[in-house]
Amino acid sequence: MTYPLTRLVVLLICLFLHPPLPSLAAPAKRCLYVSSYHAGYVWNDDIERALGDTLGDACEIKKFYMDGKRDVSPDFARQKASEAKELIDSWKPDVVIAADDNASKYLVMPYLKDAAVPVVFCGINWTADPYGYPYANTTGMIEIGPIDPLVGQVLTMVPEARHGIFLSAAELTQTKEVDLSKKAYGRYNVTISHMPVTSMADWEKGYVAAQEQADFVIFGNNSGINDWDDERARKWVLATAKKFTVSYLDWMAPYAMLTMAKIAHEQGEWAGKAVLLILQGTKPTDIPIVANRRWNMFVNPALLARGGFVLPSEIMRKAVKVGQ
Amino acid sequence: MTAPLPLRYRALPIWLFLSGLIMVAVFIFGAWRYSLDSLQKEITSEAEQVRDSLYQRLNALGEVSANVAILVNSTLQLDGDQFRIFAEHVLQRYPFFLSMSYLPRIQEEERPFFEAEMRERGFPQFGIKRLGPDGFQPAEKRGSHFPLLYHEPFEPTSAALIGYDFAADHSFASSVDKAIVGNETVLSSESLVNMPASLWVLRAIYAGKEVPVGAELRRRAVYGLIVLQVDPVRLLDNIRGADRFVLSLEIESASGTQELKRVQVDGKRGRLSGVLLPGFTKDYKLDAHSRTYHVRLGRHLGWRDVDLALPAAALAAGLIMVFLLTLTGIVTARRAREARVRNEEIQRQVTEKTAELSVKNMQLRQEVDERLQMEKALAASEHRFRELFDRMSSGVIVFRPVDERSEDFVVFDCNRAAREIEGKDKEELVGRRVGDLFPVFGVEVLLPLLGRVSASGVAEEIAAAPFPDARSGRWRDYRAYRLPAGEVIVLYHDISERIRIEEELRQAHKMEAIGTLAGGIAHDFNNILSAIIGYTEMARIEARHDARLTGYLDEVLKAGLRARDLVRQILTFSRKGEQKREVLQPHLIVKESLKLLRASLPATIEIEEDVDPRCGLVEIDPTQIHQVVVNLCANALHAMEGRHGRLTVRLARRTLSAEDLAGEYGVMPGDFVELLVADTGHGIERAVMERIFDPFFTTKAVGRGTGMGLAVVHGIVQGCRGLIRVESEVEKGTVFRVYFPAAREKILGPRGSDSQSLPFGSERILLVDDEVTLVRSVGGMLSHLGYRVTEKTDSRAALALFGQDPSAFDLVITDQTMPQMTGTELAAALFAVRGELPVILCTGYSEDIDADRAHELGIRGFALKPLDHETLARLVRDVLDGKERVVPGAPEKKQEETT
Repeated sequence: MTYPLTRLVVLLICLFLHPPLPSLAAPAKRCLYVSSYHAGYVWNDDIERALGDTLGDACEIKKFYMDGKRDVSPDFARQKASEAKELIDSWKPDVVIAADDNASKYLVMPYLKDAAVPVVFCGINWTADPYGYPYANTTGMIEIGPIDPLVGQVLTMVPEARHGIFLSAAELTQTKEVDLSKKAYGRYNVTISHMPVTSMADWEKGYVAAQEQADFVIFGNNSGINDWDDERARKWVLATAKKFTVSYLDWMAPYAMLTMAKIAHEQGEWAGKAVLLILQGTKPTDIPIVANRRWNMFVNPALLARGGFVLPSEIMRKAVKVGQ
Repeated sequence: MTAPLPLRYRALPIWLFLSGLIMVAVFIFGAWRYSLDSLQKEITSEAEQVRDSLYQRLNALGEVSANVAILVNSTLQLDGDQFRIFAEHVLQRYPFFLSMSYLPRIQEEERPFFEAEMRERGFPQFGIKRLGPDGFQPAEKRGSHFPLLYHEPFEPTSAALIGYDFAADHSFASSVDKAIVGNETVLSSESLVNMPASLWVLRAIYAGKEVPVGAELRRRAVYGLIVLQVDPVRLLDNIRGADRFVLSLEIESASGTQELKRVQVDGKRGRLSGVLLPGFTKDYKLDAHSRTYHVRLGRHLGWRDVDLALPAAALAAGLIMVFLLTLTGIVTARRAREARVRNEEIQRQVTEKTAELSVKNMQLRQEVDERLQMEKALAASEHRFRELFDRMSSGVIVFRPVDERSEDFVVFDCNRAAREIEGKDKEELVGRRVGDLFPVFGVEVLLPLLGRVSASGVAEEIAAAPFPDARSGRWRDYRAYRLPAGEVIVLYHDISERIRIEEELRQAHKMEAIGTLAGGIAHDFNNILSAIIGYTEMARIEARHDARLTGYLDEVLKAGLRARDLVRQILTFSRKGEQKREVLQPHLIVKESLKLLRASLPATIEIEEDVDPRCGLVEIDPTQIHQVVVNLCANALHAMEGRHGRLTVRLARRTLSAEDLAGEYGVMPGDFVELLVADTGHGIERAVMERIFDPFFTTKAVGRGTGMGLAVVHGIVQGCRGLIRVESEVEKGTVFRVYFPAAREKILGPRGSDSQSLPFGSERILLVDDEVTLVRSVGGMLSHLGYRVTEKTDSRAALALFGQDPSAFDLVITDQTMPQMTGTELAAALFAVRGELPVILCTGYSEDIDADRAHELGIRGFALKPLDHETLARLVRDVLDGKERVVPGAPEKKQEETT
């Protein structure tokens, strides 16, 4: 009798002291966020923040940065994509979030097309055609700028405009922006020329030259100008501004007279909501690919005054004032 | 040994406990019903508020959609961001809107460009589509499309709607067209595959500033639609108070087939828990946006919904009541048990006490009866006193001092006699002052009398000097007494009658004296006349052969007889003479008397005779009625002497009542025979009138009247209990009315007379009389009749003689009035010796003896002196023959004295 009783007591003690069995808890979902850029990049950070806020505790998020802004070489991008693929294979996420173009171009398209793991992309500029979307396992939001409204405001402020210059860093995404701008302004017989630069000085010279050559200037992304100096740029434009300047990037608002900017948060939030649906069982193909539709408006009163432009009062009331 | 308590007491606690429980149930039920009713009313009010809010909300749908349409129309170039701003505002403002969409109108020919542009703008999968059986399908080619372009909130879940053509979908086509044509907010109850139980509000946007008129123009001018998706749950939830109801909304929509379709939207279930009670349900019907809405508001009620304070209070009160009732039952049962013991003890005591009380009650009842009798007696006494007071013949007036210090008096009470005497009602007397009632007499006499009596308390009488009444001339006297209460009662009498009676009494005394005197004289006269008449008759017998001597003796005898008649008249007046009363017809005597009078009437006198032969009978000595007629007529003739006149004699029957006889004494009411004798002579003066009946009073000349005429009439009338009234007026005449009491007896026939031959005898007679002459005359007459007479003048000697040989005499004749021994004493002595001895008692006049008295003494014969020869012969013979005999004219019974 003693022997069975001792065994029973020992068994009970073991059961009591044994840690909870993993099988008793629901398996945590895994979400892998693959950013085309690096942490600290404003656009990326906004997307990342919105994604985190939207997902909350729905899944464990692991982040992978392809750092495409600081090293724009295709080889680097491919290298990063390969690493990301290894991570996907080893970590086995339930959903992969691919932010911006590099991730789609170097990771999704070569490695994850029609794969088992669902992919939600965001931040793809203007069109998904270059990547062959949609795949059977992908959905997402395309990033477009508020070109049409901006065209309207340019034509309002510069009715006689016939030519404009698109000043930006020499970067792949800017090419798309230039093409879309040409198409948009072209509907009003306004031509657009691209002026890519690689340094701060070039950007300053290009700005002055653009004002000499064109009726208005469009500030593209400065990402890619490694020696970019905000204060210098601010002082430069304030000192040299003559023509009407616009931008579609919120971080370029301090240098442009009028900015209608995309919102990175919208991209991250949409991606988060799509991930949630997929985690709940929705097929990615049941979620259509859409474009963003929000933007912010900024005005720089000092520059407007420097150039002698007066925007409609309703825009002045609605816009965020910068450069003060 | 106490009997067991009845079941009703033993079961009382249980009964009360059960009753209390029932009452508690009733209380709680009533309180519960009351609370439930209150809750129902409250819920009804809330439901009506919800209904009203819902109606406002439904109307708001139209207003919001219209405003959005206007806003969109006012925007020059609508992009997605602008629409987002609009939509976010609307959706935030109106939470019941799930989404807001913008649907531009795309013509079929624009379709490829539009789809391409949308793909370029980041919607690579964009295409105008419709909802098919297997999901979204390409829309068919048709004139116009209304694809969903902007949709807020823009979510992955709703992104599939981008490009959904409302106009291409049969479900919405009619609503789209209706919204366009009608320029109105249309609410469609159709649902999308992923939006069950949703409502869609459609509003058209037209080109231009004015809404075109007409369906076709509107179809052509419309360039877009605003579609708002309504979440019915939120629509209802956001209504204040709606979350407290189970709310369902049914919408009737007329589809093309006119069938009624109903979409039922269940609201949130009530969060009420507990046992459900009879639920609350209210149905309302609302009309808005060309739709009829059926709203049903229900609520599942639980215990906590109902205000349990009242039922709880009822329960608490009921339990307390049950406790109290049960306690009361226990206490009552216990007390009943104790009371039963006490009751038995009390009943025992009560039984004992009841027995005592029964005795006491009987005593009390007797006392009560006695007291009642006393009270009845007292009441009767009071009644008698009041009757007596009022019926007193004396006037009684009770006087009371005006006040304590006043010497004046007022009348406090008076009786009927006083009122009659004073001729005033009680109200006229009571309260009047003495001086007012009796101005002179009261002040001079009555007030001093009242004052003295009131002060001294000593009764006082004004008797010495009766006071004449000024009005009637009658006489009164007054007696005053003080009552214990201080009042003075005065009794006063009308003493006029008393004075009259006193006067009559004096007259009667005078008559009595005269009668006594006459009786005494008559006794002697009778003795004298007996001797004269007796010896004259014997002398006449002796001298019967001498005519002259016989003639002389006849004159002597005539004079003696007249003297005897005179004596009889005197006795008649004094009613002591012998009377031969019999029942007779007076009219015969009156007629006979008038016949005799008529012969002696002078020619100057006319006689009027009115004699009623049916006037009736009277009981009277016929000589007396004759004497009355003669005396009255003689007076009448005398009054008319020397003048012409008329004598009226009337005899009639009269009935006199007590009133007619007021003031007459000794005369009973009844039938009378009235004898009226009236003349037209000189009348009688008032002063004379008072004395006309006095004996020996006459107004005639000396020698022409004895003064006994009217006195004899008066005596005769009173002797037969009649009355006489006189009316006279000087120089006009006098009327005498004599009333004889009518008799009821039959007329007696005339008493037989056998005077033709005197009876003789030879028996031995002892004759006793103290008058020697009378003894000799009577003895002579008896001897003449053949009897053997022994004469004695001493009664004791006669008795002695009789005692020597009682059988020596057959008859004893004795005088009554004798010295030593009266006739009755002698008779008694003789009867003692020989009881059957016949005795005849003779008397001239005696107060002590009459025929009845003599008969009672055993005396067989009674006669008044003087006796004539014949009378004596027949009396003696009758007595000797064994007959009782009373000499006619002798008083059979002594007449009572009248006042």
